[in-house]
Amino acid sequence: MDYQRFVELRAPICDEFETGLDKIRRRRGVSYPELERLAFLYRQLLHDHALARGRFPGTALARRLRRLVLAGTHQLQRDTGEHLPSIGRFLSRTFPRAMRRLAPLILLMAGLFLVTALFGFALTSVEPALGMAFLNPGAVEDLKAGRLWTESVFAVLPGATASTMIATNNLSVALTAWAGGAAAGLGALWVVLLNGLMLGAVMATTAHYSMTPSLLEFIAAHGPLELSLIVVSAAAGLQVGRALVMASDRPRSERLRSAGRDALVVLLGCLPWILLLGFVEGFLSPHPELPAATKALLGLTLEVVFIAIAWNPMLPPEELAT
Amino acid sequence: MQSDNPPPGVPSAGGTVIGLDNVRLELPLAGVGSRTLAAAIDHALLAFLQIIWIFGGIALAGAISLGGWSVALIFLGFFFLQWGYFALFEMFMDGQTPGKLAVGLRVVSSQGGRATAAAFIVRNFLRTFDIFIGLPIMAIDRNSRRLGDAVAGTLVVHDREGPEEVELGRHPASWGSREVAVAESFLRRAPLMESQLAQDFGYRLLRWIQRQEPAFWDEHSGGVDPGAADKVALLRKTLGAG
Repeated sequence: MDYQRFVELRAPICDEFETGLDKIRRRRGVSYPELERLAFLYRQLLHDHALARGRFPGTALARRLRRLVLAGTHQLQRDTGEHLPSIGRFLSRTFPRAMRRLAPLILLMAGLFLVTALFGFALTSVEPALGMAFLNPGAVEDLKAGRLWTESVFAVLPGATASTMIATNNLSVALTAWAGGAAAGLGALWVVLLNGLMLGAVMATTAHYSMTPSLLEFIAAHGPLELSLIVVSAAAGLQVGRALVMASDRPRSERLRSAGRDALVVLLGCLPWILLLGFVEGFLSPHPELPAATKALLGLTLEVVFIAIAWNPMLPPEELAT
Repeated sequence: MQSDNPPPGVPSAGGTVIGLDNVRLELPLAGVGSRTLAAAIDHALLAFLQIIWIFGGIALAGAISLGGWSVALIFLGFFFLQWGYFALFEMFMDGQTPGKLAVGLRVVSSQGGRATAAAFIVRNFLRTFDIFIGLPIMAIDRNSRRLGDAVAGTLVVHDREGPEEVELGRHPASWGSREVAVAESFLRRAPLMESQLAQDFGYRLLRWIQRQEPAFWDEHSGGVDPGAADKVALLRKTLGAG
């Protein structure tokens, strides 16, 4: 077939396809027969494109066919990812499954966190000057005066402002831990190690000034869950980093995608809790009239509810993928 | 059956994906330069929006008294702009942000189709980290993906409408696809060229046809002297280009 004849035969099909695509792009209603016709034309143009590339490379029709086929691929083909599950299904199935797959890494990260916290505590007990590196001078002055630095913070800021600041700050830490995990896991490790060290050092410093009971009272309500969430998001990030670094049977890009999907599920499952904790930390933790026992009970309840949802003991066995 | 083709979902080098019916598709991958430009535009716009949000918020807070909550709202909005700007624009503008629209880029799935919402979220949550490590990774990767693209399974491609294609209605019998391609790409770009340059090049093509294909010339040129007329228009007419 010569070029002129090819152009004569194909130009009307190209025009029809272009008009149809334009209709989709402008979000005008496309009827089912129209869509079916478009899919048919797409396939035809795909083959014409392959022919033109071989027989008439560089010509206007070859270029036009390529452009149409690329646009058609984009408009007509959706990535075969799973659809967004409903919130109930996400919380009861998708999230617990991802958490269970992640369990070994979560335990590993929790262990690391504990060890660095102990290390920070021991080091600061021996060398109290270390604590100054983590607490600003004003906070140390507060401790010397026999009160927690949190009191002066919350005396200045209204609860709404403080809780929002805390929530966004914690979200940033969790997101950084998560995203940092993708850099071969280094970022996630950094966040966990730094936070562990800080917690240990701050604990030791408050112990140095005999303020441990008030600090424990302050963190009782939000502390346990907050630390768990940091550990979990770091573990999710580390999982992505592991897929990037370690070899396996499947291509790396494919492993990265599945690890990334899992990590996103875990992160999305944790985000609402982080927001809730911001509220607890801003309003309830600094509340002077709530007894310490209530705060501890609240902290314990939050932690237990989170673990129950994340682990979901009633999770049905996974149906086989079709 | 074993084959050398990459498995579905995994683009091979240079953005070649295996489409429907095993037809190879070459995606027009965007490189580091254009992507950095688009990101710079987006970050500038984001900073602008955040400044507007803060000052607008302060002005509004003065008018309506919400106490501590007004500061809280400003903080929340700032935060959601920071983390949501890219993902939301890409979700609702079909893989484009204002910066990508300006430069002519689009995010697509690894098969050239539409990416899922989850993919848009993943690639943009990883953006904070890609600011530091994305450039070298993009430069090394054969598909110029940054880390976020690799984890989300997306590619960034050029999506720009060039000048409209001009197809030849007829051509001398001795011409192969190379000659056709030269004439077509000249006619397509002629309106964008310096007019003197376009006239010179058109004259050379006309003289060539006149000398090498006298029969074709006599039949289709209408007996016009190529030296006197508008060469581009005459070439268009002779070759029957719409």
